[in-house]
Amino acid sequence: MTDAREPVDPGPTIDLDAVVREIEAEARALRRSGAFPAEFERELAALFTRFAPPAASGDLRALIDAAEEHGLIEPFIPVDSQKPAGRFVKQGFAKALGWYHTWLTQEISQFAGSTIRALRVTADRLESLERRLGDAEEQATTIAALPWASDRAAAAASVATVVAGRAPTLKGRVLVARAGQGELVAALSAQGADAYGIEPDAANRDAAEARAVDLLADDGAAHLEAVRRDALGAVVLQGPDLDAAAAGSRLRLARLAYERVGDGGAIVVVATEPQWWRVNEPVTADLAFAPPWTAPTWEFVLGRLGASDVSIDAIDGAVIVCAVVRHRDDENAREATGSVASDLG
Amino acid sequence: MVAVHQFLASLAPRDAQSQHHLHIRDALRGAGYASDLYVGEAKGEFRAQAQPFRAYCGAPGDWLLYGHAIGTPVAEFVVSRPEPMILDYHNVTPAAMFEAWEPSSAIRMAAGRRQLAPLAARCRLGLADSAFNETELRGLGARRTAVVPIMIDTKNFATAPAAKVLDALSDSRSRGARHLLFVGRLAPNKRQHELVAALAALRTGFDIDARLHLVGASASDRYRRTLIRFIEALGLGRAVTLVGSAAPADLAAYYEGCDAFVSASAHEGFLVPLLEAWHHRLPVVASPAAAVGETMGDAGVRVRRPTPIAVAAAAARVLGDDALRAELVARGLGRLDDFALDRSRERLLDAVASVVAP
Repeated sequence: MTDAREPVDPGPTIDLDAVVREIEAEARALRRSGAFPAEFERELAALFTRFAPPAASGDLRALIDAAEEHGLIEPFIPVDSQKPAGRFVKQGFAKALGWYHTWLTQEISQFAGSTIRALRVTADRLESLERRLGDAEEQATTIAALPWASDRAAAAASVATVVAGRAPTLKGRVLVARAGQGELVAALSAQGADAYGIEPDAANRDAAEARAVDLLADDGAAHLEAVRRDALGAVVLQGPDLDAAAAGSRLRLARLAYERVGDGGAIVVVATEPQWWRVNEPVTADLAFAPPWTAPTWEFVLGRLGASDVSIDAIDGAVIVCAVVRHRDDENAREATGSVASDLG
Repeated sequence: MVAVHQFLASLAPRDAQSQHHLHIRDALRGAGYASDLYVGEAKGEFRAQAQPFRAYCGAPGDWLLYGHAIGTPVAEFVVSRPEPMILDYHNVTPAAMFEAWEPSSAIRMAAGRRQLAPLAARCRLGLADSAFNETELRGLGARRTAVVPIMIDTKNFATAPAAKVLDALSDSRSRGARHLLFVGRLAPNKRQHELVAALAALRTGFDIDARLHLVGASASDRYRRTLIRFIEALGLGRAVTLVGSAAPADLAAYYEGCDAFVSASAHEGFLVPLLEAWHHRLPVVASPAAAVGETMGDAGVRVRRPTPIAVAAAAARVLGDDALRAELVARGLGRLDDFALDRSRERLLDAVASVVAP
């Protein structure tokens, strides 16, 4: 090993992108090889979280406890000083203003106490609501992407072929929201699209990485919120965010996707057929917030957003609804979304 | 003479943004503008360089140049003034990154974000030290913008290294240890804990006697305490050094004595220590988050998903590949030229002259 402070002689130029790809491949290989204990990275993250303030976990009760801790202000006036006479001067001020300081801290603590009581009542009610919906939510979030496919890679290739046929001239990046284990991202990339995927589930992302597909750790709606308007060539919506979420969540996702795709781009919905749910996943269908929508419903929703040239292709267990984005002015689009929401009550 | 006076929340020694604004003042004066500094707070030897912002009275024809980085009453003052204004935006750390750790700091950050919108909408020119920051300004309504990199005299990086620190590092390296360095405040957004985790991965899976030096004052006492417990729980107490704020000679010694600069930071508006690393011929491994990728250009190894194993794999490759290290050092020196003070000064004066001539 030579010292980096030796005279610089880089020799032939190195392809740094290739080096990065090699490093990523090595990291993947090491994870599989057993060079690290199982769950090594997750255990590191869990260990750090154990020492972090409870509020860092996002736990509502812990956040309220932290607020309560900060809400109590002791009526103590610090009088220490590095200057010789400073302590006496501060003690004088403390004596003169102590009554006001005590009153003020009590007022602030009263306000904090009342606010925290209100937060605790809110938390109680929220937890009660979550308990009632919890089973359905948990069931909904465990649904895989492309649940109807016996061979997900082959199914993804079929979907990609349909998308390529319906939207052959996409300009810009193609986002696959809720990408599962990356099958559809890989299939779209193989068709020549500049595709990327987001997937909130870490186990799914790891499985995707094992097949050399990097997925971003994010939630569909949150990611679309962060993307600027007209930035994408297409958005593919699929998975539990679509098939099992509440109607309002699906509408919001569709509206965000529509706004983020540039004029002439495409929105693609890969929706499981309601009949498939009823036959193959009756428990999931019963526990989901709402049943999957039919193709005509998606056609209606996308049309009201302003999309044109809506096509519907059926494959075994699912429908692929493809629509071209035609931006009217933003106000019209917002009105349209509002109308859809009110149409659906 | 046209005056372009600067307004800042604070002016402090060993602070890159303070140096930047002193260079702006000197550049403006050199180009024939009158220019003084008005601040919320001046510290140490910089007290003589600036006046309190409320002492500014204004004169016909004056322009204001306001440097924004955190919530401050100075911003409210500038927005309330009638003079035309240039905004120099250094990015505000998202409050969400601090909320769980330092709620009071998070409130100031959130205030800084809120103050940014009226500033961006009102400014005649928005300056940003990266395209990342410029995009944010444009999104908030700034009509005319320009990217002017942070103004730093890289000659100041050439401080003689402290012999004690350098000797200790050299001695350790001669016995086979490899030293990684990160410079920046201990803060949740800089994610030093990910570097500690990467160090654990490096020692576990790559069999490298690696050490990590974290230089920088603490911006969050809770984060610092959590980091210390994390380090102790991993048994890395002897392998990780929390240096704290370092004197220039000590800092130079760390740059000179370490083997690579590593960053897993999740949010930076620029990341000045990259420039110092390149100056000291230190190869760089970094997550390209926020503006880091843009500052780094092609002069470092990008870790696109900075998981511990991914960062460790990148560091191990750099530590073990002589040709790659030499290439990174050469690219770093080339990239450093892009941020030469003369070039940044020229870009600043061109941008300012586009709205107000001296």
